[in-house]
Amino acid sequence: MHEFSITQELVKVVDEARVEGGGNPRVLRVKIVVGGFTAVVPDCVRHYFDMLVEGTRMEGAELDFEVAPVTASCAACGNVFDVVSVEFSCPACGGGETDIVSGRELFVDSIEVAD
Amino acid sequence: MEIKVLKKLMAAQEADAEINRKFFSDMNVAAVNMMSSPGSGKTALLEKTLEALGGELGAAVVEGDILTTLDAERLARFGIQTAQINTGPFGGDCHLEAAWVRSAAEQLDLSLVDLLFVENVGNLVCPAEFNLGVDANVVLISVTEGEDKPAKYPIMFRSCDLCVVSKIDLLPALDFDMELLERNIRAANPGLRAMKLSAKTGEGVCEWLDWLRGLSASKKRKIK
Repeated sequence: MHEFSITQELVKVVDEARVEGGGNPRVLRVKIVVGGFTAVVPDCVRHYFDMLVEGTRMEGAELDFEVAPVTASCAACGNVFDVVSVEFSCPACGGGETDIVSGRELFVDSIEVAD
Repeated sequence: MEIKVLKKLMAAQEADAEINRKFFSDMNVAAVNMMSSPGSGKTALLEKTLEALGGELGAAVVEGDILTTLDAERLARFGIQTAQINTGPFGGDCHLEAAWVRSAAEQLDLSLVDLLFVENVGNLVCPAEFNLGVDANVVLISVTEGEDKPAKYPIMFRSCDLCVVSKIDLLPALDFDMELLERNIRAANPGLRAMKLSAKTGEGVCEWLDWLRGLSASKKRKIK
């Protein structure tokens, strides 16, 4: 449901990038990086995107989602580890003070426009 | 032709949260975002809090609901200021966003307010993704919801500074495994404190009030 706000921002970002190089090109593809530790459902974003871009130069664009892995680092021993089954304690030293390194991403990586 | 973009999709939200942080500091107010499933007892805990605090600390509430002003009416009985956000006009949104909280808070006279509670829309998913620029994020989980919630909604538990385990007066009637809940909380967020209480009997509420007093005091120290 909150994907609607996110998709509104996505449409804005893609449209700005589309015209940045001049001209009025069609958007063919959008690459989005989404962390594995975000509550964003790609199919939801696709649905809202199609709805919002109807009749624009973005209509019909494919959305490709690349899922970034969930990793964290331990403040005590510096170990960087993959977070498996929502276990954020350090598997090396058992330390509880850990920071997410990757997994919270949500950004537009690139767009492909018709030449 | 490929065009590199590299733009965050929550940048506008983060900027709004930053404006809120400054706004709450300028107003000398500690803001607390209360999140949980529907029916975990956010409003009941706020009622108990307002009753117990009396006039010790000035409080106000920004109340978020998709529809109705029922919760705000419950809290207004305590003689505090409330501001209602109904997310219905935004499309029935299931969460609060920083800009909406700010425009609601701006309707309040915050000069005598120490603690501003933001009662988020009941939901363990969406509110976790939206930074409101508050001083503390609190998640409530009632013992009737089951021990597995931190494992099922880890982003919420990871994004909070305190976990309140509510309705513990019901424990004798339930087969609730508190140790399992605490283990699941620790897995998602090893440093997260679990505070057990009952807004009905008042058990554990003292600890909660002390936590609020500490939050308010540390905010005032920072401002000075």
